[in-house]
Amino acid sequence: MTPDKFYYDNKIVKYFAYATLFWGVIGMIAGLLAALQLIYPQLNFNFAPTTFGRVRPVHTNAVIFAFVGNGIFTGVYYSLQRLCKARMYSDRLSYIHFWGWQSIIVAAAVTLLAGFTTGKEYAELEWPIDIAITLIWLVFGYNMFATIIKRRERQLYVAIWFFIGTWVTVALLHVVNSFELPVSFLKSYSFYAGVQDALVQWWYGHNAVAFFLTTPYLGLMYYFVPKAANRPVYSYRWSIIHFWALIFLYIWAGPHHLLYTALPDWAQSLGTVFSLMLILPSWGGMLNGLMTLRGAWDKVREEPVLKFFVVALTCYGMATLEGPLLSLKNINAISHFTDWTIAHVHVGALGWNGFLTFGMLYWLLPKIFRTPLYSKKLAGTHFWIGTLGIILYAVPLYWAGFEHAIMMQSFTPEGTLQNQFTDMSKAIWGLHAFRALGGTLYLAGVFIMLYNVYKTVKAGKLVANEPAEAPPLEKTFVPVAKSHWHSWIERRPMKMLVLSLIVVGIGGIVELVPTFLIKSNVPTISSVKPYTPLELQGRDIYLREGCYNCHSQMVRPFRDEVARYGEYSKAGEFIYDHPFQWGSKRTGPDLAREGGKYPNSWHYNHFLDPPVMTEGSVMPPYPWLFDNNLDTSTTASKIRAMQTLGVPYPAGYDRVANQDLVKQATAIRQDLETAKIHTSGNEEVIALIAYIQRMGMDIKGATAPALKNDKK
Amino acid sequence: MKFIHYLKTIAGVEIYPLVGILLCGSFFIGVVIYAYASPKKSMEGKALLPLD
Repeated sequence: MTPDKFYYDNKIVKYFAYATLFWGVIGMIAGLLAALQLIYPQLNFNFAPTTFGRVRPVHTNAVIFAFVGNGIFTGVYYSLQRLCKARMYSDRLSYIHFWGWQSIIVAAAVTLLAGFTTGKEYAELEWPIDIAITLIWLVFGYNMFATIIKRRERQLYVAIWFFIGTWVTVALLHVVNSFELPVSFLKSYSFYAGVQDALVQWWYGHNAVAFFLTTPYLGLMYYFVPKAANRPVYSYRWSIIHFWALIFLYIWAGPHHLLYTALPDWAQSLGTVFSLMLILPSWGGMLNGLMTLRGAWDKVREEPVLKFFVVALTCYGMATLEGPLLSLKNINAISHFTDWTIAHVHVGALGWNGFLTFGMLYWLLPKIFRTPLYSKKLAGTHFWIGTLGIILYAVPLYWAGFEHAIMMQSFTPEGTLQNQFTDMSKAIWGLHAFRALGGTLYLAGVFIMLYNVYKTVKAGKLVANEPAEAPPLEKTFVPVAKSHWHSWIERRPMKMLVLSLIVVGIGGIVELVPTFLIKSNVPTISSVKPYTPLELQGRDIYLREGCYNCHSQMVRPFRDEVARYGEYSKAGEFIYDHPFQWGSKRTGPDLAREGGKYPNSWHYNHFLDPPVMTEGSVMPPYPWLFDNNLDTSTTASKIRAMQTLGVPYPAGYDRVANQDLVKQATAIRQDLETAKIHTSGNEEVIALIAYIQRMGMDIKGATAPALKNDKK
Repeated sequence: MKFIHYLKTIAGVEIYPLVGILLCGSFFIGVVIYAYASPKKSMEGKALLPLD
């Protein structure tokens, strides 16, 4: 048969590669700024868009969806064409995908800095952007599947299964977690509340790590490691087991993010068991990657690309061993809410995702520009400085995590808490400084890479359309000798897609169905009432300022937490929380029982200048809350939205809500007057104080909460 | 007040973790058996796909 002549599209690969580097630098600078803000709060600049609560979501979203996202697309567009022996199905779709994704990133950065957020970690983007993401993801999927269908190689290599599994699962996660009710153009409330919202969010959060940061990168690993080492993957059998076991197990492990919270015990235990089982496929995959280099270790010494891959795989192995360990309840008790988690995710992000991306780009850019890399030596320098950066980043944070946990849990011989929260903040200050240094080194490495890439690109010329040829597939395929079912599925992309969906679906359903049953099983605590209009507005300011980035609202049932914060949190307390705000890190203390602890005047002064009220606090001031007046025109629509979501405000309450709002604000204003603080009563800070003073009061206020449905 | 109490009101809730483990266990064993029962030649051929 005469072979077809066709061309690989390298231009789109170049576009995505540049975008990867560009957003990588932006995202890492945002991360470095956030890290520096924790040691020098002045770097919050007294300016809303540059405060930690807004910068941190920009950092996380930028490195995950912009840096790693574009990294995935770079690798997919390069490898898919070659593995399918076909050009991408449609150039137009490729570029719609590219520009669409970049526009989403810009819109995300602008809205997050402006304070538009859903308040759910890693899913902070507001509803119009969520819809745009869905559309662009469909464009990517259509282009990918159409390419696979017109391929000239019958077998789908393992990397493509990982791409298919990724595509379908990310679509599922994004859509399910983004159910939200729009209130206005850039404001919505999560469809779910409290415990349910938490479960869906961490089902999403956990699997975003799995299917955005892990599976697509495993696909890239299975392509680029054999390519760079110039030898096939160590065991193709392992790769089959790796793929199916990983996508099957991962989806079940989400609840391990919610150990000791108000989530049911059995769901927590299930999360733990599946997390432990995950070690098996993860380590199988890591060893498969490393063993691919068997007999090529001499090359690793010479070739920076392979060095990056070896450290990336090692970090993957470390992070996937640590993850299951962190899901053991006694270890989680230490790690949760502390810097340990931050260290853990950065071993994954900096080591696995970052280094695999760098290795891939060092290998791929010289290929498409038909020129050797400008300087292997500089790439080697990047490797060492980056590795040192990772170590300097992670080790101090592990230390800080332990110190945080130990200091918080210490009691005096008399049985009182030994340390204030700020004692701990001060104790880990130096460790945070080292972390920032580690981050700086890592970023410096990236700048070295930029220079190296710039010189390489200048020396070469892009082969925009790379010629290739391959015989077309025969219409009727007769398998040679005996075939087996996986060969069958490996030839059928759409069936692979459906099977992947079923496999991840089973885990998702088993995990989520009881969650939805929970609604009728969470005991309603009769003293838990919906938020007043002013508190609701205040809560939205709490979301806007990203308070959840540093404060949890979840007292775990531990002696020290109960002694420090008050009664531990109950599932029934959160039934009106759209979205939930349990948080995941305590840079500041828990706020679940904050209401009534301090007078209004304390909070007023605290928002103006936190260290004045709490010596050693690293919280930034919020001066704009004192200048901006609360926008009460939104109250009615917010109340109506809450009613739609099932919050029992009386019918027609939306029309009179603002009267109650003014009444409550006036009471706070008058109370502040007694402390010689003069306000108009319209400032945003009044609403925020109202919300803070409400937290935990439902339980504290009622002497003996009457519990329906509880057999205690 | 333990949270297991609330879940106990779901009829047959114990079945969830049990079904989960069984499903995963059998799925995993199935994949392993399959992978090792398949002919070595076809595996080697597929492993070479990216190097073509």
